Amino acid sequence: MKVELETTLLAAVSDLSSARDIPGVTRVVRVAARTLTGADGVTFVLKDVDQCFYADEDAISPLWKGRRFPLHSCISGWVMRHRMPVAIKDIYSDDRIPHDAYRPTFVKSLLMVPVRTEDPVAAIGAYWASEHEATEEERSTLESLATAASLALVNVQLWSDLTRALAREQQARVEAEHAREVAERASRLKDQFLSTVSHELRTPLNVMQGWLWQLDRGLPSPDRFKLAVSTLQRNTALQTQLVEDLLDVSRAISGQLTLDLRPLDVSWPVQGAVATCEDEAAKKGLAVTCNMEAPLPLVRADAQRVAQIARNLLSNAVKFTPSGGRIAVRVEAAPTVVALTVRDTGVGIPADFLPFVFDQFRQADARTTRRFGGLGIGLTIVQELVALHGGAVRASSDGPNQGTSVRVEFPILRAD
Amino acid sequence: MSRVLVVEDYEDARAMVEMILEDAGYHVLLAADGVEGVTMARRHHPDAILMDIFMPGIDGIEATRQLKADPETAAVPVIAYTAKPAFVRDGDELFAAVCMKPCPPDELLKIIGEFAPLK
Repeated sequence: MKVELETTLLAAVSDLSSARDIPGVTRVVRVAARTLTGADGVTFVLKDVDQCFYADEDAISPLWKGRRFPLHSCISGWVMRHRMPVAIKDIYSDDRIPHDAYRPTFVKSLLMVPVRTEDPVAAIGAYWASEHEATEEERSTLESLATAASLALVNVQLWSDLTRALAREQQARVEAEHAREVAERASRLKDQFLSTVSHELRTPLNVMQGWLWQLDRGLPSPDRFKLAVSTLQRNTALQTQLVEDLLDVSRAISGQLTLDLRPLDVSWPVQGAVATCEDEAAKKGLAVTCNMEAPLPLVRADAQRVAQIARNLLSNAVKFTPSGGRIAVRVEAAPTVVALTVRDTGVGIPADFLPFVFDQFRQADARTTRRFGGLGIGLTIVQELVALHGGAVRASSDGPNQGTSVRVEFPILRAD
Repeated sequence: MSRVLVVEDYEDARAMVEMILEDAGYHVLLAADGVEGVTMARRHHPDAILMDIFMPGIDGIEATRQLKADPETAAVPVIAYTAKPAFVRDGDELFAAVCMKPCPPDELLKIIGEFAPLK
């Protein structure tokens, strides 16, 4: 082999070894094939199931780049099917050639070699405009190029598999990292919650223990006895409520929360809830107003649960509104729903916490200076209960110290 | 008479502790939050302070830090009185003792007696 041919072939082999995609391979092959054979045109043909795809070419005038032919009706297909090269001096005297496809072209003679002889995946063709008997050297040079191209195609495949595998691995890593973060956050919230539950249960327990100790030491004065009983009652009720709320959240999580749905005028349970909160509100110097439309359309609801929803909203309003504030309860009919709104003039909700108010165990301020007792599950329970009624709940606030408004909607019961 | 300042935001707990300490023979001062607690400690120089931790405004840890930073009140023993053990560890070098709620009144009296003996 002539030195310049050898140099060209070596350069092509080197370029092919760094090709990362099929166009990269075909580009090197078409340039090298033409230089190596001195042909007037070359093509790089890929086998695509039962077709020959003319992927690339370099020629004095256009050949078949981008076209597809059946494997059985073209010479590149013949080469690939028979796993052997072919040299044809006069293409029009050879019936393996689809003459109609060649007539618009310059081609008179050709040399075609398969890429990967044992199981061809492509072919390289060289074409001459004048009759040319392909030499042994031309054939072997083109076969060497075909071997290098075949290795390059394997590389491309491996490279693309590797890239895909790396991308998949990276994706899996990102997903695992995300899952870990979510789990850690949930675990932190749960720890925080358990610590809050423990605190909230111990606080009334401490008071009860103190008074029981006192009672155990002998009957105190009538005034003190009365104070003991009322304190014990209040703290027992507080603990009972905590336990009830915990059970509700646990039932909601396991889907065990059930309702006794009947046609209902919601103003009744709401009035009851307002009455139970009036003492607490009065003690804090809060003005509670109640505005109920009458008559109200009926909704399908569980009276006890509606009362619980209203109580939760009211107890939040009382808890989060400083002395001297106002709480407004309103029940009104809209076209398709009956809406209960509890609005207060309290501490409000920071905009960045609004999306999380219904999440369990969350209160905006979780530090030790947290001003407000409770488990942070009241609104979670409200949301679950409202959802079970087929209704909707929305909290809004103009920000810190601008008050909060929570609106619950129950669908109106239709006659049909 | 030994004087004990009780800083506790929960009214029922405040009343209960007041009763137990008064019955035992203490003069009891009451504060409903950290700010009031610090003010009362500066004004009355009690023999000991029973300090709730979880409180509005400044919490019991911050209130105690302020007392320790003030030469006038730094020597007054402060007993942490809390239902949340995790929070006390943050500042336990501040406290003369820790009293976990629920705390049996006998135990409460014993701890307070160590720092403010009945006279």
